[in-house]
Amino acid sequence: MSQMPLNFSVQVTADPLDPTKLLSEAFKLPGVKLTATHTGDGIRANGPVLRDGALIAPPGGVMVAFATLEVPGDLVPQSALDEQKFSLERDKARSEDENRRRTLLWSVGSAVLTAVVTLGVAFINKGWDVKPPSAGAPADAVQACRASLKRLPLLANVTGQTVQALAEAIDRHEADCDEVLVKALGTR
Amino acid sequence: MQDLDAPPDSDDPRKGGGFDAEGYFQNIVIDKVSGCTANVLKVFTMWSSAQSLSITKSTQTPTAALAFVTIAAPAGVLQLDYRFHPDTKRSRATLFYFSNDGSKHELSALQAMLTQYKIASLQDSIRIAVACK
Repeated sequence: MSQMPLNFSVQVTADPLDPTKLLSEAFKLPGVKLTATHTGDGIRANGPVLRDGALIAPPGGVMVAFATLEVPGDLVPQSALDEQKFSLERDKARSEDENRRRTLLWSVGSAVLTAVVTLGVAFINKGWDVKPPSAGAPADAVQACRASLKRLPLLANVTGQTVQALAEAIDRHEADCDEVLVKALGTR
Repeated sequence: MQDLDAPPDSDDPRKGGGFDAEGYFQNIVIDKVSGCTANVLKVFTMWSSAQSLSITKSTQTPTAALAFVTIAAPAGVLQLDYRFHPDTKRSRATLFYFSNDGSKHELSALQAMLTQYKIASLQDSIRIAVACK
């Protein structure tokens, strides 16, 4: 929204280095326009122009003491500009801080995720909840071995049993069961 | 409980045993499984009594039974091995004969013994018991 221009008068001072120039800090305002000049007695003085931040008075002219200036109405004080600049800097810093925090959270999340994956692999490698791929002796082989063991005393009581035949039965039992038992014990 | 045609069994001993009676249970009822096991053992006991033999040793769990009968001619031990596998839902009963030196023999080669002890009738009874109908 455009605002009405601001008109005001300022007292000017002669430039000590160049007597043809008249100075005022107001001449440095952005968009400033010179609308009138007056002598110390309030008499309008024609001829001076505003150029390069200084009022240039024509040689032999009246002594200008005051200048009437016009500046755009939407000018804002430097303090307000500084405040906006600080606010912008704060927002920027806050944004960067949030970004850093977000990055930190992601890093922590990634670290936790990595730890979970690592633990998962460790669990699998340790086999805490997974049976070993090789189950050792098959259950049927163990059952057969048990049956062989229970059979031996019965064979000892068979009619016409001999020591030699019983020894052979014992040897068979050992041959059939030894490997099975070794495998079964190996899984413990 | 439902029985179907049993697919080939990789655990089938195929040799040196006697006969196999097997059933395939699509649905397992635990109480009935243990009852089936007991019935198999009961059938074997009834057969041995009928043959004037006595079971010298037996063990039983809900899914397995192991029973022995000592015979004089030919001298050796008859062993009935029954197992039910819950994972494959299969049951199998196998009759083995072991001579006095512990070696296992093919029952089909011992025709005299098969006839003397009426193994065929035992086989029929065991088949029914294993099917658990």
